[in-house]
Amino acid sequence: MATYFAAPSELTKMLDTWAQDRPVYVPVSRAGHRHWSKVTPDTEINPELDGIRAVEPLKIFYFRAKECVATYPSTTEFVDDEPGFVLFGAKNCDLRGLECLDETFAKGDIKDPFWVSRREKAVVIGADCSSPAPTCFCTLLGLMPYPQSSFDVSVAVVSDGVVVEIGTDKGKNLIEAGGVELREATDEQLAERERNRQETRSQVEEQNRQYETTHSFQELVESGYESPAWNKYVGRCREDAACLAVCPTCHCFVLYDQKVGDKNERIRVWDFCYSRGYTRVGGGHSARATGNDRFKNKYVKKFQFYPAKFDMVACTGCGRCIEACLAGIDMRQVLRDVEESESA
Amino acid sequence: MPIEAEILDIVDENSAIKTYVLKPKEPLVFKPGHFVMVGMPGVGESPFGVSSSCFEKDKFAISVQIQPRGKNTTALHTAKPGDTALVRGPFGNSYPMDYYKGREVYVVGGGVGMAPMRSVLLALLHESDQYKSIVLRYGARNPELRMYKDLCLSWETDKRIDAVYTVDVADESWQHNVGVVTSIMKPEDIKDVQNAVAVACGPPIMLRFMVPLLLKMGFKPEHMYFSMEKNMSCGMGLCGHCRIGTYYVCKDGPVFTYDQIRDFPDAWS
Repeated sequence: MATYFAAPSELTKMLDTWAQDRPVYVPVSRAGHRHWSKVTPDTEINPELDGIRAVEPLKIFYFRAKECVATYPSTTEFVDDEPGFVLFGAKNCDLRGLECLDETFAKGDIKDPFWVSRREKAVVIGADCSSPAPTCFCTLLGLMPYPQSSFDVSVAVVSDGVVVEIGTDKGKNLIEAGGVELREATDEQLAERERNRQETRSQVEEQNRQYETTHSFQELVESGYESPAWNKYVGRCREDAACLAVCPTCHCFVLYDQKVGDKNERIRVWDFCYSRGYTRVGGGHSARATGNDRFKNKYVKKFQFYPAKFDMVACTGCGRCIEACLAGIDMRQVLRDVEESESA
Repeated sequence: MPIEAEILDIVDENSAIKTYVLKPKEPLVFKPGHFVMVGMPGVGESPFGVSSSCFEKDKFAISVQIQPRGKNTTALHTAKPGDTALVRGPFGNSYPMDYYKGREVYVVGGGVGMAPMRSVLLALLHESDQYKSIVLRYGARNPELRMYKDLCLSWETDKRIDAVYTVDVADESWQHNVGVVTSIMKPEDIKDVQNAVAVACGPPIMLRFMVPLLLKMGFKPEHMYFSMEKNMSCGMGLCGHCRIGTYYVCKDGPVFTYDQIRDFPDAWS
């Protein structure tokens, strides 16, 4: 696909133009952490396109933490009347997260209309990573720290600006609507992008050498389910589900109903398999009544269920779960310990 | 979107369970084993196995056990005939009744797990000449907590079915067996076990004790069909709640054969 070069002033102009008629979100640092922030035409905002992913996973834009999914009695079908949004600066781990959730929400025989509609309308602009955090481990899962797929446009910071790569027609249309005539990227700029990519990749690989396993994570979870290695983490895990809330592939929810005036609303809210009531059924029985069962369940879902069902692991190596964990549990170390105990 | 259903009739099964006959605005086409989401408007919804015959086209029945602090089951238990409930479904797979034809069918029900078994039994009896034999072993905690008492009574004298009942704890009125349901399962119940099928629904503890017994009787793992109860919220394979191992109970189940799920701990705990 075509590659262009944009100077910072051109980027700003495009962002302002897009923000006129649709919501545009970019990563911006606040209080030491990077968050998705909405671009408004009146405020100066400098999207941070280098570095790593934001705190929030991309799923928050498509699969909201809490929203009304139906009002009844009603005869009208679902209509999504919200404008499509632009996400500017999504990292590869987040793009992969969208692909994982597409399998659940968009590719089955029953689809989530909210997810499907928002995915169709949204334009996603990926961005290369640099200066990986110690928690980044995408390369352990065979992913690269730069956009590989599922982006409409991708950008990479180089000297004096960014290289812009078009991924889809939707992306091409968005760039054209930006009102800036972009020059083609030079060979030097493309070479610089490639050098940066390989450098970041080696950094991620290097910092994860100590976590490399001989067996795949999938094999370890399948064969190591009864391993004693899990036990030392079970007592430490606070079951606060912080790791699940920030995970780009966790998608569990629960539905409840409420009366609003003479109407009834059905509300969908995120739910977490680490909470004790998650598997509780009539009569009070829980299928995963012990902390041990619940702790391992996350790994089973991501490294056993997803490969069996969708031929992919539901982990993107974004490292949010490690960063969010109050008990300092590192998924990479857990799996490494499982392997060690199995080979001992 | 849920559809409205009129509550035609409510039958008290025992102090905790009522059976509801519902007539949805659009007919529900279901097979034995299917489950539905039923709730009261503005309160919520819960999954229930259909307990009526699939040959009744315009209405269906579910049995609801009231749950302490259960908003929806409490609302259902206070509903009256003529009230409107909401229904979604049917969901999931069903028992392969055609595969059972020409075979001995060994049905085991435990407690409220008798609800989907009632649907299976009514379908079996509807075409009883198609099956080699129909056997029922039903256990409940005590005589009061048994479900479908009149139907069970009629089966005692029904030549088409070999029905034996037990309770864990008896009272002076009880004329049948005393003990858990596995105590009334005998190898001589089935003649050609290699070709027979077992169909069961009950609490996990019953399934755990029953599985070794069925295997000892000679049932093949792929001929042991269990209806698994899990905490379904969406019924469509989206919400994640009902997963056991590599399956969603709401889409891949609720009916599983033993060889499908034997290696997944959360199926048995």
